[in-house]
Amino acid sequence: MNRSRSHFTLNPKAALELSSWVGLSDRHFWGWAKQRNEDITDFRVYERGRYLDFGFVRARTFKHLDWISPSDLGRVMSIRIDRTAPPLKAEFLFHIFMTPQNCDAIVGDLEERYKLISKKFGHRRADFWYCTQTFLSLEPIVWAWTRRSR
Amino acid sequence: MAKGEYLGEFEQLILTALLIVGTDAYGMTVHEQVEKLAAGLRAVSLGSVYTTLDRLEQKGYVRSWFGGAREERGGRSKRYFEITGAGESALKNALRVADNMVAGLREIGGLA
Repeated sequence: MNRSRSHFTLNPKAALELSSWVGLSDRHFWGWAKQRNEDITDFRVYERGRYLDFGFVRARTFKHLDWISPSDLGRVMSIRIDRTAPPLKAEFLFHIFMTPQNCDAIVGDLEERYKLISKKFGHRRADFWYCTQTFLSLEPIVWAWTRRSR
Repeated sequence: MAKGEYLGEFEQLILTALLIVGTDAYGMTVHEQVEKLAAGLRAVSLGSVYTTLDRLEQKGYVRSWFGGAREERGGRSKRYFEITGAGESALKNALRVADNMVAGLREIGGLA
């Protein structure tokens, strides 16, 4: 039996449809799916702070996952809290002053380090680090934005 | 050397970190390396690393590109950085000036 697992980022159109369909606020979806032989058996979509497990997905290969629409998905089996999510949505703060791609990169960096600290030293220390780093980062970013917009 | 080609202290730190980190240089790894180099002498935020890297890219000392999204980053892409030839020579010049300063001070016994 051939089993594998793949990570993906949902295409913007499907993400937009999915967000209105399941009533989620975020349009930045990503997740993973498992493939057993020819079929994709599990499909999990993450939104910041929680994740949704779908019973099945109508897609033959991982490549098709980039193009699925909500009608290809089965009913939501469960919605759970993702305990590894940072305490605040830093992108709301950075989004005003940075390009979307830059904002994505810096928030991704913060989240990556947050998870490392959380694993090593626990949630409290990671939460403190994340909040401190987010607010310390705002000052230079706002300054650079002010200089650019002059 | 024109005025705009001078490197500030933090710019030197960032370029040195880029050289040390090498091919895996993105925001987080550069930030970690800069923190090590600064050795607690100054606070370094991720935001200041990014704005300085942007400025260095505008000067032509750094180039950047976006990489693949990963699970541990919440599906967000990385922005990779690489020092350019112009960046390396600007850093060499800056370090030469610093070396001259140290040598000059040592000559008069200013640095014990």
